[in-house]
Amino acid sequence: MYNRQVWEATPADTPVHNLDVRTKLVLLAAIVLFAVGLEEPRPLFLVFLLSLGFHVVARSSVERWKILIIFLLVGIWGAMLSQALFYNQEPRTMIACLVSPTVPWIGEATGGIFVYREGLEHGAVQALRSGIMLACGLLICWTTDPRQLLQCFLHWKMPYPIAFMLITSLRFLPVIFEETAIVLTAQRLRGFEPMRTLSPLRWVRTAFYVLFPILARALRRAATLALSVESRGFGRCGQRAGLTAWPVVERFACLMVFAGIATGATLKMLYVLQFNGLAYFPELRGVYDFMAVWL
Amino acid sequence: MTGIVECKNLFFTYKTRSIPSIANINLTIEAGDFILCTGPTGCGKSTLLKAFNGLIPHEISGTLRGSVLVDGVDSLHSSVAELSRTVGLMFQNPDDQIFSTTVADEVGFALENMGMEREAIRVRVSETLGWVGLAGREQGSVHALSGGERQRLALAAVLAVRPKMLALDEPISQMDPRGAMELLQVLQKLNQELGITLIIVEHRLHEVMPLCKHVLVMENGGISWQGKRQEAFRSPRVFLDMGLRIPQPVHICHGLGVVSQSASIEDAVHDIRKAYPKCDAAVRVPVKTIPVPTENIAIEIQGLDFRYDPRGQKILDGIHLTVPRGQFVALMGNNGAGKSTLLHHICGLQQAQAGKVIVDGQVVKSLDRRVGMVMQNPDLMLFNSTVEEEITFGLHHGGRNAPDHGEWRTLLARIGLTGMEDRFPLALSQGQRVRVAIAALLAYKPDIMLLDEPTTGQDLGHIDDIIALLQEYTASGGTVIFCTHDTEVAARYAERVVVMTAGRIVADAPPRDVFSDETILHLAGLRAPAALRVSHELYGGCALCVEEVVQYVQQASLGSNAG
Repeated sequence: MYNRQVWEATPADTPVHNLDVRTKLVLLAAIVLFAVGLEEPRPLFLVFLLSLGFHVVARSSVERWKILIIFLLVGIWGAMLSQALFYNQEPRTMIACLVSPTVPWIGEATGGIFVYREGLEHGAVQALRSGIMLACGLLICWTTDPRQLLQCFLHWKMPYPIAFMLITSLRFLPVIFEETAIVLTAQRLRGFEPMRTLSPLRWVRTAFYVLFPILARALRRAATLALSVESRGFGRCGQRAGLTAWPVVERFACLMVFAGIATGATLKMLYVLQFNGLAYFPELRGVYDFMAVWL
Repeated sequence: MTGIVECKNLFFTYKTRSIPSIANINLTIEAGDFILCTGPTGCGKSTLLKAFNGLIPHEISGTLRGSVLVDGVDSLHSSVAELSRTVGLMFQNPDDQIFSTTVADEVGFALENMGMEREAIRVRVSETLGWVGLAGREQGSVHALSGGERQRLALAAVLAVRPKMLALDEPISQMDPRGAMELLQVLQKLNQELGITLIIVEHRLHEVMPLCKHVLVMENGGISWQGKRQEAFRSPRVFLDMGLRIPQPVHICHGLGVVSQSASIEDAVHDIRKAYPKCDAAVRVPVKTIPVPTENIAIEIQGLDFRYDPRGQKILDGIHLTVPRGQFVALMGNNGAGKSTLLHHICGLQQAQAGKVIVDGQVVKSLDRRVGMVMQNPDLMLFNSTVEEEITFGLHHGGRNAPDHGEWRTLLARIGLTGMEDRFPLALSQGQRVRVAIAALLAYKPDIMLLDEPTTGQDLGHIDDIIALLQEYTASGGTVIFCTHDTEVAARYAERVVVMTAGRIVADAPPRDVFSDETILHLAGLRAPAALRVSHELYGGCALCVEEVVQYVQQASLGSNAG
């Protein structure tokens, strides 16, 4: 049967688990910024490998690797396929023809369906970006106590209702996955086979059938959790114990990472100015070469 | 005298309702008291608890009239955070309230919110875990705890702030007997040794009543009866009239017209012997053995093995079971014994790794439409927008012999939900939701019905309704297997009891045999129904229900049981 614990944060004694929650969030933000800023596949691939390396360090279980791989493969496949088929920038190089423009109906209506090399490359970049974010996001969910995340968000002055909603959704997401599986099973037990049809109307109805019990349960659960934490003195007001001291080494590392990102952003700006012929500094030629290849 | 909590002329009406959920409550809870609060579903018990720590009116919208003084402070003029240091509130399901990943973090959460120093939190967490029997588990994962342990962790999380009073909302309603007993023992210790005041809302009176000091009965938002525990034992009619289940020794005494002083078996036997001196003529009721059926077999299981993890422990280990058509079977055992997994195999939700499951002569290889199953959580089985649609669902989705218009209305009447045809099923009470789920499945007319804990959260009257419905179904040729932790229900209604422990069947016999066998009961973590133990002490019998003991004693006193 479905094992919801695969989705829930579990404690362990690994360097990733032991990182301060603030360090994890800062590094996540830095990696996301870095991934968004990068356009070259090679460095993106290295960052992607690094994000997978964190999972190795965190000793993610086999089940979690399976989930990660499925998500990554689906993401990579989806992004590359869609970009390869629908890439509309120029120049573009056709490497395969799936449907000729002369094919009645589809070919005539679409002007032909082709696979473009530039689309594949662009799709790979997009896939790597989303893969990096997914891998790092899941790593935080699987290795961080939701209570610590909540405290961290509040410490950083995030409004209480937003922080609580965010964490509650994170806390209940595995439960909702589990209950969705149970509801589908329950429907099958009552003779309803929603998946054995191609009728979109029936799929819509199935969605409602699944949503009703899941939402009702989720609302009840969220209300109980809210009352429970309020009853334990956690609320919109009141003095709260601060987070544990942010280790100096980790704080310094975060500063260094952000300094690196700021440097990278500055260099990229200089490169863009040079590329567009707006400003050129001969002494930065080596930097321009490095930027052209790596960033 | 000033109590820890004092309610004066308290009324509360939820924002979405027109009539008050609690009305004219005047109540003083003294320090050190242990109160059992009970009453029919929807009578306002849980609402009252929420008023004790300020959730009402600070967090729950509605209109409050009257006052609640918590340790002398009006709850209106204090925050939930402050009031929670005096009154800790614990909810029914630990999974809905546990928020952290490690045991220590969960217990320390409330202390962090108080602004306590880290070292002091560490010490307090360890001490609190010791109280609830989880010492040394600080760094353990909350997911590694059993259901009973998680409930004790939820208790520790509330207890950590050292409240003067604990308010517990149905803390044992979803637990197996062993887990419930462990939690109740912890609560009794907290009350007796640390003087913590307790108020427990619970339907399982027969387990809590013997431990409490006072009993409070609510009805329609008001307090309809309150008194000491001993007075409650002397007034069983108060509870029985509301369909609440009282301890069987008290029920037996009531049936015999004997005034009961306690819920203990010894006291009941002593009191009955005084009133009925002739009742100790031991006549052994002959035990029916279950012949191994050779024909008309509904379910046949041969050497069934199953494990979730190929390297893990076997969840089902060499199960052999044959059930003839028309039989009403109770499947018992503690949590983790493999009961639900066995049901999943019978209905085809899971496939055998070794051995086979045969239903009506055909090996089960996938989901079998001849088998219907009601899951433990009825909410996940209800997905239509009205009760009527829910019950007639089978008509529109290939139900086997699905009912006509008249039939489903009869079914609705049988489960006591006439007039609720247009209600949203998920907005009904827990008991009503279970009954709708059962009716929806009965409407589908499967050959075999599997039910996972169908009587949980039901009061006595509704248990009778459900069982009557199922018995009618078996009388018409259907076969029922139901999982239950409730030995009283199994003893009273089942024809046959199958006991599982660690994935194996350790007993398969008529209830009288199973519940007379101390070794089996101990092995499976079960306790014989009190009626059986009373009958054993009283006349060497093995009665399965209250009525049997009462009838025997009355007949013995008239001399009709002799010879």
